[in-house]
Amino acid sequence: MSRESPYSRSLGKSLADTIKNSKVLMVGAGGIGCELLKNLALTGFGEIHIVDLDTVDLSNLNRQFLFNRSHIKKSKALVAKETASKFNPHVKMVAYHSNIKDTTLFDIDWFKSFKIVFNALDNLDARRYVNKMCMAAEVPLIESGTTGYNGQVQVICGTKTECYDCKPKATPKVYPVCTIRSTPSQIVHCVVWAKSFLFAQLFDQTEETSQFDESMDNVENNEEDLKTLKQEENELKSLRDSILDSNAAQLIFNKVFKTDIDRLLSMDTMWKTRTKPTALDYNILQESTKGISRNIINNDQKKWSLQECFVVFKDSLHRLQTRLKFDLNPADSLQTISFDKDDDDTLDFVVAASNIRSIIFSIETKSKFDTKQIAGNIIPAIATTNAIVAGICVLESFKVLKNDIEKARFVFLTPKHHDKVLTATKLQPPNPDCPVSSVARSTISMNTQIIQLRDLLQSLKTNFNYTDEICLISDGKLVYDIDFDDNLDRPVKDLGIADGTFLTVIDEAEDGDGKSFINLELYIKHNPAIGSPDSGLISSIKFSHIPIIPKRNSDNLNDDVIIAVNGDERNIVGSSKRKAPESTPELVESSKKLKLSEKEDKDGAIILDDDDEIISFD
Amino acid sequence: MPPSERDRKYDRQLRLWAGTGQAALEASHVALLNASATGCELMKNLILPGVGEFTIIDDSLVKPDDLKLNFFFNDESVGSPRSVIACKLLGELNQDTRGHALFQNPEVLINDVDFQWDKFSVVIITNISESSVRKLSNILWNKSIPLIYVYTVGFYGYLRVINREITIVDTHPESLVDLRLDQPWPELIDYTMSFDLDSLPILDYAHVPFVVLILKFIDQWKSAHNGLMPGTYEERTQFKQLINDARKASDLENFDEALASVWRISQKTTIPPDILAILNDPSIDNLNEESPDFWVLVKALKRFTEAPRNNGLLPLSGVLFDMKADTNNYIRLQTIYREKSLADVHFFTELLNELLLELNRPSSSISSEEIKLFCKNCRYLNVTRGSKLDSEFSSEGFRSAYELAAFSENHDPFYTYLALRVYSLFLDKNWYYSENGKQITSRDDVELKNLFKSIITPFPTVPAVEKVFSEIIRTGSGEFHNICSFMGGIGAQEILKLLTWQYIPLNNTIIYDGIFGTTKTWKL
Ligand SMILES: [Zn+2]
Repeated sequence: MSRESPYSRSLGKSLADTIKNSKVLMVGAGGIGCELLKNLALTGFGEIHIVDLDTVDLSNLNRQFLFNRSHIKKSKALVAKETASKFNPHVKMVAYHSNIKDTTLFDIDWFKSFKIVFNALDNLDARRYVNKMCMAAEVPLIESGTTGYNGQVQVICGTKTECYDCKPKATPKVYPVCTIRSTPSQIVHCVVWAKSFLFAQLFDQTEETSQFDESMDNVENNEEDLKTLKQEENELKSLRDSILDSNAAQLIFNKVFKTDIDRLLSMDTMWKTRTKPTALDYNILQESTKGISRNIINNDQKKWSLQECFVVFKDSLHRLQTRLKFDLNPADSLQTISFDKDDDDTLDFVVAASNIRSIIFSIETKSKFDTKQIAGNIIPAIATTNAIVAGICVLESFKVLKNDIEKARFVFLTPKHHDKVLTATKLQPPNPDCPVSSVARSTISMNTQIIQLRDLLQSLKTNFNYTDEICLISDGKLVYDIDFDDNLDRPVKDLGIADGTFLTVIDEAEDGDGKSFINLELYIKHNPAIGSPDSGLISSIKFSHIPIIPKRNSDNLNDDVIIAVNGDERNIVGSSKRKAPESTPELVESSKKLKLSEKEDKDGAIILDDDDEIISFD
Repeated sequence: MPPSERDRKYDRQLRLWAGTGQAALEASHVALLNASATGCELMKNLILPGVGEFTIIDDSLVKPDDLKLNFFFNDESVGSPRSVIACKLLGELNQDTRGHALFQNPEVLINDVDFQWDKFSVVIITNISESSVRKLSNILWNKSIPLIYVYTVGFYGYLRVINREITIVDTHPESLVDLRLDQPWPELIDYTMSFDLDSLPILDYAHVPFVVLILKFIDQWKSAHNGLMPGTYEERTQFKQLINDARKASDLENFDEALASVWRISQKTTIPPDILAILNDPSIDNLNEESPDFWVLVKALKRFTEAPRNNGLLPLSGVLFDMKADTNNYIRLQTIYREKSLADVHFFTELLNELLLELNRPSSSISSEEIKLFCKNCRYLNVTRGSKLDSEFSSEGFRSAYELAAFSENHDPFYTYLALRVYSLFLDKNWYYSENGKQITSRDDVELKNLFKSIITPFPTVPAVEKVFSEIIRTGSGEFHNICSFMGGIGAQEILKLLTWQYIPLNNTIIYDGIFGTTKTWKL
């Protein structure tokens, strides 16, 4: 069949050839990923790499059409490749069942080998990571996401456009620890307690307690209270040893729903303005639950009664115990089960425990269905939205391949706007306060095992005219500043400055004009071949290039690098060389932008105009 | 599949349309006329979420060209009936869906007076002559079955919904909160009176729900203003000042909430205009035993608002949002709103039962769940009435559309609409194009332009329309997988609204311009 495909006719032969010769990366083979992979394959991209750490779950099958029931628990990346390869045998596909953040597999040179990267991810952390890698590797990124009927596609192209981090993103909500542990007032407090405290302490001690924040507690909570909390926690930890006992349900129940509540009740001041909780008793409840069937677990729309919750509490605990027993391996005493919203044993336990707690605190209970949404941060998802968004991703990629970045758009799918459905806005220039876009970049190659922090510091000062106020941050942790020079004699690898990591160099000292350097972000390559103690260590620190680091007015800078010591990446992002985020809610901002862009779009030109290859044939 | 497993499979979408929407979807049967790439993509997006049954009607065989567009077909399918292959492969996407293949020419079928269309909940038609679409649209209009007409050409997509009427209770508005600050009822007033702000210790003072605060200050305002509410912008500013002056400390969140909600009192609690229009719809004039539940409920709602005790108000939703308050007060307030809403539902049910009796229907024939849902959402009901294709597809319809376009900006998708209409007429005139898989070429440009001129005479031609013609010619009237996939997403989205009876559907045309990446919708 010799007929030219409609694609090459309409796109022009040069773009069609570019597509055929392009190697692209797709991160995430979930909802958008399945649609996107199909589109990329049928569009004829020459080589497609697929990375996803996830495995197929039953709850994916309502939209992720490359998978079926026989694929459950198998690697999404591998199955997606296998299924989609059949759509177009001419496309080479490479799949990795791996974490995109694994720098041993995916280093900066690997990222550089792609013409375009497509993000089809479902979490903030991985999105930010790929965004940063693409910025460092200078590879265009097409970022996409969906929530229910809404979706968006953003084209990110190095320093020409905004990056993913240029606009502040909503971070997960954090609750004061005392609200969660002592004075819950909403169902969400009880769910967080059941999932991140009770379940985590009993079954999964790897779970971070990041949803609590002790510093947020107010004056009401004195040290006495915090001590009590610690005691309660230790008691619960010791119950973990009895988790396999036949009376574990009774022990746990009486501990958290009786003893702890009684202790809370004894603190009179706490209940002056609050409704007092009611302690429960295992044996009394046990009596009243005769005849209630465990089948109630299948009714996920009903708000279970206390008695029903009690039955599910015992039943799910029993199921979890059985799993622990079955898995028990003498060599591994740290048997854990992680909470998973789609794992009914863990979900039932959390639903029952959070609702029992709600009843104790006179809070309105929730059905299993609703509790699941709260506990699992579930984002509704359907095939239609993914299909629409994936289609837009590919169309935007054409503009990138043609170097028509001015014609690329930030597209929002907003089905509630009945007259438009889609809104396309022009790409904005980078935010000068963005910690990812507005930095200078380079790469260091060195033997990270022998180079000491002192050498590295010296090399930086020599090459870049840094002052003594230089400050180094490696993956969110402060490794050096003028008041923190403990590490000077240690090899940089020991400080986390290892292959595939980023090192941020900050020097906020103002010059005579009140200006200071913007940050320098260095990508670290470990190279054992260069540098030995004899040849002079400093000279064996090689920069890929020495960028000229621009200076800018430091008027509005927050001087709160100190937060970095906490090691919390979110805070780092917010601190170094960055104005406090504006209080304008994002919604208002985007609606303003929408109005602007309507006008702008009218001045646009047809993007495909410049390919005048009209081929006529009969 | 056991019910819990089914729920887990559909969990992520149940959060959009709940069990009622899912049940409606599973009870549906969708027909696709022509297993085109767009049609198959669309069906895929209906089968994955679990449409009950589907039927694919097509009499062509898979051609090598189809493989580039339609991922369901592979080398082995070439030469086999498209309907059979598509039905088999689409069916594999969801074991809980039943598929049927009908190896029959859609145009012939449309002319078959004996064909039973009634079993279908929705019919989708793609890539077919305009005269056939018109014919089918009239058949289905008379049976009140929605028809979706969708196709793509080059970078353009077109979708038209032809649906007589759909009535939607659950439109999923942003919020169902209804505070009625201007119309407090006795229980709410008593509760407000039970607070003596001046004597409260500061901790309690900080936990008085803002609803109570506003009601208190409204009282205070009224007594100083002849019993009138703060009506103008200026008065509301003064009212804010009043609240601000009363606060005992600066960091009182409940006072902040009260100030932020002052705008709510400017919204008088009345019946919204579109609901008033529904209440006055002629559909409720001659109800009988067979009348749809929706209109029976609307008539009961009308009687509810006319009952003297309700003061012309709709039933209360009973929904409150979170606010700064201690648990006790919040629960108390919640109870007051919920009880009022339950009382409204109760009275509504009485009126409904009387009406059902008049219509010779048993009082239990509308379930209490339906009644509750209706009352809760009664401020946001939607009745969408479509239009027939005949008037739009006539020369007069075209000319009035042209006149509409004359006011549009240069790249308005409306020009694309006009161009696609002409293109469609061109194909009907030159039917051999689609028959022989023949492509449009630059030689056809003149005929497209002449066709356009002949319709719009005596008006002048439009360059923006001619630009679309050249784009269509450039693509050789071919389809692109990406655009098909996109339109398959848009089309399925609209059908899901119609099948689940939730969310406000598109009425009635959408054009996608993949070159600019823009869409626009119109009621034509
Ligand atoms: Zn940025």
